[in-house]
Amino acid sequence: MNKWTEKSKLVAACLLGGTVLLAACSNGGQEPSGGTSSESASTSKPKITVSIYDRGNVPQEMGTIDNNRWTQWLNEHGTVEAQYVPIPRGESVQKLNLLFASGDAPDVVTDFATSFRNQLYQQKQILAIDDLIEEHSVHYKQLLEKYPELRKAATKPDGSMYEFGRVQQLVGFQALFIRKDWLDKLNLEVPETVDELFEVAKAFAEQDPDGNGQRDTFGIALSGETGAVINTMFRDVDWVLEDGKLVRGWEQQNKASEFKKKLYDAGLVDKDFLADNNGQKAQQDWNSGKIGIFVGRTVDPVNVSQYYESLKHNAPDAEVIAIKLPSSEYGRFAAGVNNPVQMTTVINRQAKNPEAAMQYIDFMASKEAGEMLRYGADGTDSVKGENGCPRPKDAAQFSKEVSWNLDFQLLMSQIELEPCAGILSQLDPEKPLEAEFLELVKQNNEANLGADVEYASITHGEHMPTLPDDLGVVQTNVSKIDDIYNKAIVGGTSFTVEQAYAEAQDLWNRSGGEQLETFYAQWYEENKDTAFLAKDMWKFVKE
Amino acid sequence: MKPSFGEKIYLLAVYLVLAVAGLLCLLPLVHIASVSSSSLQAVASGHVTFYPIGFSLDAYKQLIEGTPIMRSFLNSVQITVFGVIFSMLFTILAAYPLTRSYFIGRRTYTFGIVFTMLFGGGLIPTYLTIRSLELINTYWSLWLPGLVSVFNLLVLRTFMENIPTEVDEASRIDGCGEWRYLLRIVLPLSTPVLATLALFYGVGYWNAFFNVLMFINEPAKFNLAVLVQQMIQSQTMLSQMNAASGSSEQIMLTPEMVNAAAIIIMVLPMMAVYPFLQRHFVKGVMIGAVKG
Repeated sequence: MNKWTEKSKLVAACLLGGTVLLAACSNGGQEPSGGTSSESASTSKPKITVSIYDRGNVPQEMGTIDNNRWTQWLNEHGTVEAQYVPIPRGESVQKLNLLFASGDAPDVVTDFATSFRNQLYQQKQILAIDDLIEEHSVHYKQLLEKYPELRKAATKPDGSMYEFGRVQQLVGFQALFIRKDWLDKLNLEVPETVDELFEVAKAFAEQDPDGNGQRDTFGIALSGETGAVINTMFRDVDWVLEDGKLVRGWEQQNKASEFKKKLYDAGLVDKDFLADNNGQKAQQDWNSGKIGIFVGRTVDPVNVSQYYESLKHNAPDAEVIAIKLPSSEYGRFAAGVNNPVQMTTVINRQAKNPEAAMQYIDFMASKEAGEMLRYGADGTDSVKGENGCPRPKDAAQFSKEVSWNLDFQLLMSQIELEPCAGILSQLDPEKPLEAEFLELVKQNNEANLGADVEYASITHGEHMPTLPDDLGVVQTNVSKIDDIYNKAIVGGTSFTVEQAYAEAQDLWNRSGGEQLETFYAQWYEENKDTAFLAKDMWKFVKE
Repeated sequence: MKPSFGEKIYLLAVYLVLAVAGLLCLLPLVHIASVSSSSLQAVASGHVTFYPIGFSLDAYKQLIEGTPIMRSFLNSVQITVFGVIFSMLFTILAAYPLTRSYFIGRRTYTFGIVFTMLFGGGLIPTYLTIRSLELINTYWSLWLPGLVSVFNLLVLRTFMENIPTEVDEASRIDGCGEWRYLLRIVLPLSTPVLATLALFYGVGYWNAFFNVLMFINEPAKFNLAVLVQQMIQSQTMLSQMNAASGSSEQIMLTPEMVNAAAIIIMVLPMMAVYPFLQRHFVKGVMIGAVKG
């Protein structure tokens, strides 16, 4: 009896193993045939390899990120045949480093990380592209002429261009949301200065704006993006201009921390904000109608469900407006905006056929490819709406077929597709929620892109210089300064901001912070006329 | 015998501590399971704790339709089943000779094997080796480099060494050879440790992440660990970004419930396997092996 069960188990195990083996074989058998069908169509075209982010978001029936409807379309309509090398998004730098070190790196490499591309430049792993553009490009050359800032951002210290990028309109990325219904209920005005902001937050926390008889609301969030935007109000952005020199902004950091400490001591914020290190708790509190002032985003249709839909569900009476950042003694600043000239792509020095790589990039930067990737096929994926812009024919179908192809759009200059590509045209004014959010987008752009606000940093983070390795170590060591200031915010009377400042200074000096000061000051001195700075960003505001 | 008052207190304390420890392990999982089966509104507002609110299985539907999770699941099964078979086979075949006193060069072999515990080649040399063996993009790149885990090998060897020599002598007298001795005597006596090792290997292969990431370039061959990590990482990266330091990378978020559903699908098979193997851990196999 016992023997029999043993045997039957063995048989079952063998069967199972065999099934899996068969499954494995059939998988293996399918792939080459899938590959050849797309290859056979274009055997005469030169072949190159191209990196593509893999985020694990391609629906199974659409294929894989390296072989799907879009890769097939691109290879069919472009002049070269691209073979895509998937790079897992989360570990992209590590994987690309490995591929470069072993000589397997793709011909065309895309990555968002400025520091990684600069590292490739310093290691002489990538090609200078001036001549390639001159001789083998049509679309990208036109873009360069139309937007000379593209050249500015691509130029490396040796004077040649090394990177390709995309151009977008400047839009408000982050928005300072405030509960208008709470303001009205408590007879308050929109705060114009940081002191008024404090008073409003105080009223929101103490006067029961949601009317449930309990003191369970927070005035303002301190974690996540809201905390960062409070820093921005005080121009606490590490490196600031003083008398034409780029210096570490200690005073600004002290003032921002003092303000946060004041909020904390008065009990207007979540006491556990330090535990909420990615701001998720604050966002949940906002969505459940427990926070009055919060920083969200107004840049993508997905933001509607992130910051608005749940709030309206939980608090149907909620009324939200996007306001200007309150002014401080350092001025009045813009909240986060996008990077209008974003560099994304480089060509591997080992590329066997740089001309073909250039042709690929040129095609990807063309309006034809851009519109196709953005909207899908006209008529089947998108139809023209009332405003003349293509809009998804069927939202569910569109997200299954089209919207995951975002990473193929890294060379698409969205500004050329305007006014249709932006969120303003993508939201549907027929739907009440989206119509209301549309208003928020407009308010936010008005608040943050006007001439009366200033960008707090000298330029977008992606255009800041990359530190050499040894200074990178210093930077890591001094990054603990933020912890010291956080300690002061929650430290009550026992640990003040002055004490934090003294401790931070001490750490700064011990870690060799003055090397950073020299580096940034020197970089600014040498590059202030050629670098891509905030004033260049503001050229991309829609008139 | 009735326990005294002091003993009662002691037992109570022990149970309390164990209960707290157990809950600490269990509750996060319960939370994830609840999130995966709640409505979007409830999750986005942070209302979900340890039971689903607005019960819905939409997340699982979205997961199966919108991501390659089924394919990854099958890949994971394939990697794990074959990986465990290969690894167990070679671990047993390596451990047994090392327990035989008449095996010449036993110490040298043992030293050579243990040496690899202390020194490794590093990532890039390993990658180059794998590439020159043309194993990139095949699961052999996962199975071969870690075929025998030295730690597991030593555990198994030590266990086999503890089998009384009398058992060996008795079977030899009855005319038993090496293979028969290994298959009929040693392995059946080692089931507890074999079950443990199979579980170690199984969990290792099921959770294989880094090697898949580095050695496999075709998304169709990614396993669950990589897929789930991708889905979650994309989200964390987005939320970490702020205007000062971040990029204006626009991506579609995988909703939190879908991530939670993916996590559940990933941990479920391992949790289902545990109870079956656990039976072997507690079995006292050696009792009654030697008479007299």
